[in-house]
Amino acid sequence: MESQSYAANCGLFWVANSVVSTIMGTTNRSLHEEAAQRNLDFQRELEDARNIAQDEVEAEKIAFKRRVMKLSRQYRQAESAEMFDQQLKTIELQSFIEKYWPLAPALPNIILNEIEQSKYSNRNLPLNVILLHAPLLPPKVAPMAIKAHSKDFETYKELERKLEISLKTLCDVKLRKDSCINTDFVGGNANMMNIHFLMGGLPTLVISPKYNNEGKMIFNAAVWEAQAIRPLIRPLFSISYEPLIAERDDEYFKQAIEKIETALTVIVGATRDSYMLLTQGKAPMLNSLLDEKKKEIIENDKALKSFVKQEYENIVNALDTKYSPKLLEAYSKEDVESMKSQAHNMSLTF
Amino acid sequence: MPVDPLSLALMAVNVGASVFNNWRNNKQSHKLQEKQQEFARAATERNKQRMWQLMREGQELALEMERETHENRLEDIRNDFDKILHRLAYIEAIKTWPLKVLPIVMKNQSLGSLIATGDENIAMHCILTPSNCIQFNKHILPTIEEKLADFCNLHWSTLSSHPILFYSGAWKTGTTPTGVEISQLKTNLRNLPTLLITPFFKPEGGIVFQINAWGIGVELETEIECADFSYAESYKSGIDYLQEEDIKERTIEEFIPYLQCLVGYIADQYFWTNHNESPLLPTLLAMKVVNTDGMQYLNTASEERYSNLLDVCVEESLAMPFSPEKMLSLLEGSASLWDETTRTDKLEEIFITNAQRRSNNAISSMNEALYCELYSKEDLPFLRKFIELYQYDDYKDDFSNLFEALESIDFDYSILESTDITALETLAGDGDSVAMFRLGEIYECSMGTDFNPDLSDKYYSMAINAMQRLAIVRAKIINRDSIAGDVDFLASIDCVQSSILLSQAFYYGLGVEQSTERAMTELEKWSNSNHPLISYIAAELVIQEYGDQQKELIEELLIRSSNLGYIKAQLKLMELYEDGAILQESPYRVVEYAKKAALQGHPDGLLVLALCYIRGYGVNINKNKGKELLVMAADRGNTDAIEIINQIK
Repeated sequence: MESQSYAANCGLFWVANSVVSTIMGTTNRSLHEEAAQRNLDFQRELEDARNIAQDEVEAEKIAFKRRVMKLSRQYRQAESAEMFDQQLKTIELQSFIEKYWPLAPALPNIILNEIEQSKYSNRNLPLNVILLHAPLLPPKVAPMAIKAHSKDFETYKELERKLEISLKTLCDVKLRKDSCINTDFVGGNANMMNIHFLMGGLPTLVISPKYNNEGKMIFNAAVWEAQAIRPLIRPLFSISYEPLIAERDDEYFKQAIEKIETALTVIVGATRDSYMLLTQGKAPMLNSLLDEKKKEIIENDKALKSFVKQEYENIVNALDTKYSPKLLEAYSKEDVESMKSQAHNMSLTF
Repeated sequence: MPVDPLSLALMAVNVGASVFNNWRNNKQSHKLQEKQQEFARAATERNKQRMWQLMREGQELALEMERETHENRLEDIRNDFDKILHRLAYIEAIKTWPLKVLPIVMKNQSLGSLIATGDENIAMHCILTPSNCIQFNKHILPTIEEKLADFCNLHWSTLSSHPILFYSGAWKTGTTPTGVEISQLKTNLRNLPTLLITPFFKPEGGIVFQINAWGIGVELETEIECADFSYAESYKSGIDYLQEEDIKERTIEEFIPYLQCLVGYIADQYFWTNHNESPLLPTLLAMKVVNTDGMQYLNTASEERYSNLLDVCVEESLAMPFSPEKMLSLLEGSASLWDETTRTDKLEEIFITNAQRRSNNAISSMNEALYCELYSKEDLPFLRKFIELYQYDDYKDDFSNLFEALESIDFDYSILESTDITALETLAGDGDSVAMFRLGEIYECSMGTDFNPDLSDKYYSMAINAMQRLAIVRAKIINRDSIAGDVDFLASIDCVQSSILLSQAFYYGLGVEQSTERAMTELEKWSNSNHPLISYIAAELVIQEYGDQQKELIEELLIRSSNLGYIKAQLKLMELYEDGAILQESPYRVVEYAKKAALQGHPDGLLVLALCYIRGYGVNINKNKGKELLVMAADRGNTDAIEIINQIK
């Protein structure tokens, strides 16, 4: 009886279990279906998000390409404008070399090479000296034009040869012989600027003698340091000279040329001393360039003598550290004092 | 044991139910799998369609862009055509350039000139052109040109502060310039200060100088009649100077000083107006460098012109801010034109006008001007220059007192507003204690630079050592010492820094009666100021007084100060957003302001940011980054960071 009741109970349990399993199974299946649907929806959402992100990336790529295009156009236009500017400058440079360069046509190439080389060299640059050739004797009237006296060419040739010999003792001065190919050259400020334009990269002294129609030969000079923005152009002094007398009186002409030679030596020497003393601390050397004759000429010419004296006094003033404190960045106080005394001694010599 | 049929039946039901459940499960799995496959197939199909679509769109865009590029290229080619025309025109312009010196040389665009700084345009370029009289051009012009070149080279040298580049021998042709040639010069030399002078002989007799000038601040296109010349009436375009030796000599004698004055006056005006340089011509006239013997009218005209220039300048200075030093510089250069009494009168007029310009009351005497109490330390250069030029004993004591009073003020408002660190450091290096204080403030409040407590402390200490009163008061307030003796000083100074200090003094009752209201009033005076301490201190006061009742105002003030770079405001915001008592808790904001403080290298900012990364508070968890920041905070001396690192170890 007991076992029957137990079996019945077990049976009821199975039935209940079956019913519950069936019901739970149905519920679980519907939950699974919902979960599967959610999963699909989520996948769809992810796909949409991926697509949106991809669209944004594509849009950004396109926008970037457009920006690049715009920028490259801007760059192209800027380059084109720069190139155009360069073309205009080229026109001017071509014209400058062909028509405006006042010295020997082969000189620009030499100068530019030297400027280029100086960029890679630590060597101190020498002072370049250029002598312009103003007419010495009255011009001759040729059938078509006024031409300089043929003797002028020879005279300048000889003057430059002698000057070169005088300057040989100086290794920091470079006389650019025969740079001036015209013997009727008028070296106004315009021409000085033209020379500076090309030679601005080298320290240079341009000497321009000129007869002033009033019995005087005036010496003007332009001088500049390497990379100086502008040249310093200034009248120096004048010596008495009369071309008409020189033409007919050989002795007068000879003496005048000697005086001019002395004047040129003094200008080069004093400028060299001033430049080398102030920039490289080198000792003044003008005295070594002057023989007795030249010294005598200076002694007898008031303008020449006062010029030399003034030049060295100017150096002494320029060496005053009170007004040029930057000197002390390059030199010690003792060096400056020694340079000052050297310049002062030179001024006393004359 | 026989099985009970009922049990059998129930077992069968159970087995049946299990089989049914199993069958249903399998069926559902199959269905779901099919659905997933179907979805995947559809997705693949969609993806394929999309790829095609994207590719097509991409191709369309590529075509469109190519089209745009083509259009741009076409436009460029059309522009190039314009340039070709321009280039050809320029070739012709250069071929017919009227000067012996090209624009490229005048503009100094030299190949070797690698240090062009723009200074080259300061020089005034001067050209004397041939006249319409052939005889004059042949026999007189070269001498005049030569003398003018010497005059400019010697006294207006290119290395001086008044550089004139006189282009002697520059005009190519022997004829007077045409209108086209002048336009050509103006076009190609625009912006280059240039003066072109052309003598013009009138057919009916008389001479004028045609003046063309540009790039000197004004564009001049005028004629100057020269009726004072001895032979003014005899000058005619066809005159033969070879036969009139007397006229020739006198012409040279008269033209040279006249042109020297003309060039000098225009140059003076240009250098004075544009570069504030004192005039030079009057000195040259006084030194007889310009020989005006027998030409007194030149001196009179110069005196008149410079007087007019000064009068206009004085008059204009009343209506618009005109540097009084500039007026003095004009007077300094022109002083030699006037006798001592006139010079003194003019100087006094400048002094009185300067005072008048700054005062609302009418000032008519030197005494009134001296005691108008409008001068500050900034006026010292003007006053020093004035007294240097005045050289008159009448007001010597008054000026001495004024100097003494101004020099004793170690205060300069402009310095306390400056954020130019380089300039301030230079001033501080020269011993300016106000600049030292300002630098301390700049490094403390991250004004235009990062927070730097070391530099800030250094400059504040330097200011205290230099007895800078603001710095001393600041130190007293930090130490909560009384500032009773400094209140009048602070109240007398109208600047944001004094109000900040006063506000703190009122709030803490340091030597004054405690008054939050007064403290707020002081700060409100500078509510538009960009000084970060104004908003920060105001926020602190509001927090203390109102707490969370004014949370929006507190947040606004602190954010303002924080945006101005003040690190304490950033740390405060970080703290308030973390705490949540006054401002609503916001982990993201905590991270935002911790980052701001950390970017300036503040150890507290670095520590909080490190902890945020380690705990994932307001930011994705990143323990490595957190540790790095922790080490950085420890390196900067944060004790908590050091302790945490030790614990981790």
